[in-house]
Amino acid sequence: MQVFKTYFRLINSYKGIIILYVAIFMGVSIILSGSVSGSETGEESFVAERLDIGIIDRDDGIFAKGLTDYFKTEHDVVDLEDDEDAVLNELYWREVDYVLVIPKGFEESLEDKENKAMELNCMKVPGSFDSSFFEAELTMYLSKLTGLMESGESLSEAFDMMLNIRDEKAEVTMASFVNENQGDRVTMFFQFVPYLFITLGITGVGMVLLTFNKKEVKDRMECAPTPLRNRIAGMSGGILVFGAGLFILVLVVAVILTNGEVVKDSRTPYFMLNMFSMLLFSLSLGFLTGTVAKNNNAISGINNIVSLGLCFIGGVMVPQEFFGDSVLKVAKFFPTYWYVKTNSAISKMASMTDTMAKDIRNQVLVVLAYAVVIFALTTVVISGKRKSAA
Amino acid sequence: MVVKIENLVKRYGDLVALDHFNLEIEEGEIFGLLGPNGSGKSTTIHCLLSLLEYDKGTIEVFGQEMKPNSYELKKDIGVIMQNVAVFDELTVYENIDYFCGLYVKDRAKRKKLVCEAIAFVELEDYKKFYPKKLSGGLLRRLNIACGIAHKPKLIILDEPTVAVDPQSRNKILEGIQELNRQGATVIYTSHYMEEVEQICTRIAIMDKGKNVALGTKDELKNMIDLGETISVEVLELTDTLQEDIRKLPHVMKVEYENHLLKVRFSKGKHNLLRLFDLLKEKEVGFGGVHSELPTLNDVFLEITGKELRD
Repeated sequence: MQVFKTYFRLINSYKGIIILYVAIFMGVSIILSGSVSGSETGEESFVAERLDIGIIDRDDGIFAKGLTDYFKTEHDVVDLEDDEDAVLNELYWREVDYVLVIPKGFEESLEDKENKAMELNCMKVPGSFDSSFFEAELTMYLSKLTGLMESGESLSEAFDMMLNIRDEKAEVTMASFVNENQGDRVTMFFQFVPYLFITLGITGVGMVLLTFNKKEVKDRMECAPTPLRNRIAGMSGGILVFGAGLFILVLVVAVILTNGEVVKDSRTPYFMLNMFSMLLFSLSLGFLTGTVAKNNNAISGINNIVSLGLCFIGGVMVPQEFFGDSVLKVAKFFPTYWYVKTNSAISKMASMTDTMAKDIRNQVLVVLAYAVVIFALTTVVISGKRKSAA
Repeated sequence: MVVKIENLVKRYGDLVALDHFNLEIEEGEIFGLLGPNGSGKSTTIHCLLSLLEYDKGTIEVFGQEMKPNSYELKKDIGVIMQNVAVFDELTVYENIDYFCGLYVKDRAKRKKLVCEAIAFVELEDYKKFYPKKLSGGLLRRLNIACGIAHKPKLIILDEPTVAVDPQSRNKILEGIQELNRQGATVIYTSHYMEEVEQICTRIAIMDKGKNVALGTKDELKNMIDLGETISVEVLELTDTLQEDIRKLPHVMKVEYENHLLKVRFSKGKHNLLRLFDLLKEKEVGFGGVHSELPTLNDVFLEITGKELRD
């Protein structure tokens, strides 16, 4: 009990560092949550872009009118004088995105079913996405128009039908196992949790352990009538309670930052399971750090390097989608990679399928395996130290 | 018998730190382990406390074999190590309470003991101070309080006055004597012979892991031939006169350096008088005269051929 109580007295002495890390975590979480709180899903956030299209009609027929009527609802059709320098000037200053030139005799060639229709001329900004986009639309338009005319419609009838086709809207309902809320506040919040766990794991376990492991203090405790197993039990109890506190703290912060969304979210238990595996890994890491580090300065250095390193390489701070293949190959050796991967899988989950459950379970087990390996490694180090001390 | 060590051998690779070391300490003693650095004092203490495994020999405390899991025996032992063993993150009170709590589970009893320990080392005004705010002397006193708060029957102090100012050193030594008066047996290791002479009732002199001499300070001094060392300030002393001094009865050694004549006599009477008579007879003028009785350093010097402070 004495060791257990002292564990928390020592934790209390590091409260400044702990508060700092919690503040960093909360700050980043608020920023990340804020960045997604106003965003919408892909369909909702789509806004059609209107292009400035210039049409120069050298044919002087009804084709130009039909074309203008068709495209003016989705783009802005600009009147241009038929002067090459003026057109190039407009394109240079991006006053228009694409200029279509209807050559003389085009309409006639279109109606002539025996011969191939003339080609439309164009002037555009080289390599421009907008002009390529419009060109694709135009090709589709011409394809449909000629199709209608080949089926016997006159040009004016084909124009009317094209307008009718365009006004018809199809209702599309997406059926998916994928949750539409991926990239939401809850997901973003849980994604950043490894940083808090690793930093506080190393501080709350590593630094406290280092204090207990100071040779003089350790010798004095060895001389006392408290058996080693009692001291280990006290220490383990302290670490577990500290870990539980950390877990609860994260959940409370999650509730606050997501305005309670996390409580109603059906994915939360899976996020918690993933988080639990990362917590155990972080506590193990703290255990190892406290055993191998020589002093508190070394622990602080290790803490910064390890926490930021693991978070960057694992995709906690930079999305894994941005990683190249070689970086991803390296990242797979780190538990944070598996945590983020699991977090991402959970975020896309609308309902749990067997395949998803298996993937998530395997990935959580990978993180737990890291925790077990580090714990085992630490016990080997401790055993070696005890032997050399004797 | 509080402590009995027989044929203790401890090796660090090829180095023999303790070479068939023997020791017996009776109840109520302040027993001094004296020796230069590296003589095996701390190794003895570490073996005695089962902090170190040893290669050979037996150690008994209060008549029972001392082992790492001898928790009943450990209850009656208090330890004050050479290096200050406290938590920098805890206050003076919390530190003493923690270490006392490893021995005494009853909270009320412990509170009383902690307060008594604080009063004993006179740290009442520093209860809420963190160790880093304490001076070297106060820190040593805190270190002692952590070791004695549970009122042990056997107190082991391993060089507790290293790097301590004279005032704090005196307080610590007085404290040790007071603990002994209260009934504790004390084992005190040091390489400061003055401290050992001042407080110890019996002394073992160690060198190269062996017990080279054992007894009270008077018994130890009686082991050697040296009776006294007389120093006389002499302006000029010829070689002939130095030879004449050497011929005086009981003279063991004559040295003359920087106008100071130093004559070491073996045990015998009228040494000073005979020296004065000779100087008067040869009409040699002299100034200040000092006479010193043998110290433990002299004992160590005569037994090992080197000084304690080497």
